[in-house]
Amino acid sequence: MFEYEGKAICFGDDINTDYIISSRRKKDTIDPYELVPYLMEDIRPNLVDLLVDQVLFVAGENFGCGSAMEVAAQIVKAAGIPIIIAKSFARSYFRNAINNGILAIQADTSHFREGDIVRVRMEDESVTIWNLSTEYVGHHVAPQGKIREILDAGGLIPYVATLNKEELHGNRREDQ
Amino acid sequence: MAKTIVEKIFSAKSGKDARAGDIVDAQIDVILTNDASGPLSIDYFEKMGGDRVIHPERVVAIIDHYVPCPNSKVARLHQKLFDFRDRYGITLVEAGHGIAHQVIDELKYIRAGTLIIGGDSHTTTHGYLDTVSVGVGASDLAFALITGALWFKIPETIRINLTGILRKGVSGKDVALYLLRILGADGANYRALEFHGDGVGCLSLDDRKTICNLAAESSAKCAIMPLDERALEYCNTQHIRVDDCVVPDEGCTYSRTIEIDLATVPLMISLPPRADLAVAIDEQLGTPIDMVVIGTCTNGRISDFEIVDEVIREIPGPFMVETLIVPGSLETYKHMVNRGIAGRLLEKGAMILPPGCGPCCGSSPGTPRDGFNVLSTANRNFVGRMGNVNSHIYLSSPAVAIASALTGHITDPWRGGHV
Ligand code: SF4
Repeated sequence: MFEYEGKAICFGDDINTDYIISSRRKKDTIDPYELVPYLMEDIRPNLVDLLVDQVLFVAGENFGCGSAMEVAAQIVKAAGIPIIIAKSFARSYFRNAINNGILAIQADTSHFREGDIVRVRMEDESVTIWNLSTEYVGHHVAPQGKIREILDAGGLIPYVATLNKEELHGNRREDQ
Repeated sequence: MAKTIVEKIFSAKSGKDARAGDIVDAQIDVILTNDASGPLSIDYFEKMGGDRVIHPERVVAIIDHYVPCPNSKVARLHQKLFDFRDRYGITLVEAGHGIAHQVIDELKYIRAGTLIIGGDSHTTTHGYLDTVSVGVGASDLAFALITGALWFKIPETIRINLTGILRKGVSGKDVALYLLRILGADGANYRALEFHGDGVGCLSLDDRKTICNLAAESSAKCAIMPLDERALEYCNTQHIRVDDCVVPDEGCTYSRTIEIDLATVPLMISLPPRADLAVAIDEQLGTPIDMVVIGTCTNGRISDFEIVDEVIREIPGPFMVETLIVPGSLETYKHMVNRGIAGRLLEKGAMILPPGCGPCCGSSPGTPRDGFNVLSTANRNFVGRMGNVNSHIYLSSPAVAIASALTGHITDPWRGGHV
């Protein structure tokens, strides 16, 4: 089981990866930790100040659209944000989020406002989201299989470390 | 329950009864990478503690973005690919042989019923032969190098029914842009495209590649064309196995169906800065152009340059603007030389660049000047795509691009009085 409680930082639809971290910042470094001060700087200039609390991201449709640069997911993780709840994700961002150990939950987010206190609990089969500020509760199916194992490990790199040799190479099937 | 093609291929590759929405672990048949994403994947491979590539014979790295190598920084990135090849026995294709998507196709890695991943968004191209072919990120690619498999969320499928036949001069590129206008930039996000209908039969295999290539611009995960007679015949002559070819089950579920009568598709132009801002050429005739680029993984094949040749033989005079010709592969380039196409292009003042991506994404030379209107046969035209944020990129078919190079403004090559 995994449980997290934090303040919602809300975004609208179509937040592209260039809003998440501007390409002009990536010229100097692509170290996600060094880039954290610039997270969402063009659309939320004082976002960094909010990071002193436990927070999570709540967004509308198509979060993470645009380029597939993996650093746009790495920086969210580096900023200490373990969960993004969005109406939908861009395909590549969803993958990158999971691979970097961020719980990306697709859910109706119209019940959330900036600053709401949100609790997320992931159990074997289900993910439950409480908006403690409005008493809204949402139930969702928890990610399963490989994707769950990657999340539980904290991302693709630590996940690989959890595999033994046999698991790494033993899933080889005969060519059809 | 009846299945779509993606559901069937992912079921076969995962050993599960897979449905849209399921997440499966699937075995990969071909892994493609290039000099833009490959070095980053190698970094991930090392961070993951990778010490061998499980199926080196399935991995191809092709140097295409930075060709020839422009500086010492890129030289070191290229070196990484060579070292990786030496160490793990993957196949590496050196600079000058062409664009990854075209070379891997010429090398016959593409076969019906297979699952292909590539560290490049236009990996969708290879769905033209009834495959699931998907672009992935650097960490995913590294993971697949180590384990031979990758997790996938199985997409829903949008069915595209093509009927009728194309009018003379209208190409696969025009169909692709026309479809992109219908779908919009994220219209196929998380979805597969599946193409059906009699209309497919009138599309050449190269047209099909172009359409699957541009599917990436609607955010499609993959684009699939089941084998029809023409594709089967092509596979036969090329000695490509077809025994794993897949058709969808009767009554499978599509999230949406789009009908296109090919006879109604006009020549198309995409306006800057988005490929889905596509309009019929009539709305843009006469727009001044300062530079023309013909090539890229969208339209740099032999058939594209044969059409180019047809147009330059018809319209007299030299190119009015800077005209960059980038053969998609060395094979294409040789063909252009042997048939005299290269010579005729040079006669008119073209610059022929080495086979590769060329100026498509600004990685190799050919940067437009400030204020330039570029007409390109590529697939992307967002601000700064070719390395200068103060230029504007229009997209079209090779025929329209070359005709416009001869007049200096957007021109319909099949309508008289262009000069
Ligand atoms: S030709 Fe352009 S779009 Fe195609 S792989 Fe190269 S840079 Fe990417």
